[in-house]
Amino acid sequence: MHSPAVLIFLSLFLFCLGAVGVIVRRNLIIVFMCIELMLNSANFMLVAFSHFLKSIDGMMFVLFVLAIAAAEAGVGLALFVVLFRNKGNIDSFKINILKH
Amino acid sequence: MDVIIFFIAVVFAMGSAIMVVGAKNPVHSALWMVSTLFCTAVIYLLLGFDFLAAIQVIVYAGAIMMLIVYVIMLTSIEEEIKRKYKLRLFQIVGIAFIVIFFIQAVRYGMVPLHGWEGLCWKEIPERFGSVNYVALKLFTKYVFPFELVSVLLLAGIAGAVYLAKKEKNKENR
Repeated sequence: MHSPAVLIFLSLFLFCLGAVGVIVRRNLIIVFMCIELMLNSANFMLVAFSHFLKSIDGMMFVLFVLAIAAAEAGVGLALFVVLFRNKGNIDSFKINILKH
Repeated sequence: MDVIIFFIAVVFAMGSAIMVVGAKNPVHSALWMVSTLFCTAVIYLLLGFDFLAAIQVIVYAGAIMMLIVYVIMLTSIEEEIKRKYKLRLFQIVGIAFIVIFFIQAVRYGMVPLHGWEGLCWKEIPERFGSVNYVALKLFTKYVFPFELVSVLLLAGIAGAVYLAKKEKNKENR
């Protein structure tokens, strides 16, 4: 348990899985959840190194990142609701209003 | 005992993360995401960060995921359930790059760690990561970011309310 390798592997795994999800999935809410997964893996790495380097600073970063993630979730989900109201779907391939 | 719980949490976190990306139904995806966040909180607890584990469960697995489930209910999921996924070229290239990144990061990120045993704690110290110590740091060294975060949350609330309110005197786009 007290070996950084497992924690780093878990963090990298979650990050890469989240990135694959962002690329592959087309529903914007699932894409948002995959972004949260990547954010969570970065938090996880910060906490792991905060533990191994015996410093509380990494954990404080994670607290602030959590608060910012909450604000981001509020604004992002409001955007999705507005998009759905205006266009009728939240398919990331069909949202190309900046293209035309 | 701790080691067994730790590895169960790690395996469950990985499996639920796979299901977040793989589940067809967005609601199932959200529930697997709750499972991932909960397993992460268990690992935080085992690493000695009690307060952060509680905050993770309350804020992430509670508040944010509940918000996401509400928004899934407000939008339609039939289209997503029926959709057949066909990978396009840019997606294949992107996945290949991510796989290369993962392999390289695991190779080079883990190699120096064999010499790191001296850095690891033999046992978890008593008061590290407890509410007491966190509060002491939060209201002394980190008091300015703490106040800034409150302003940011206020801006987030204002932005969300402005975006989501109904526009009455505007024609449909």
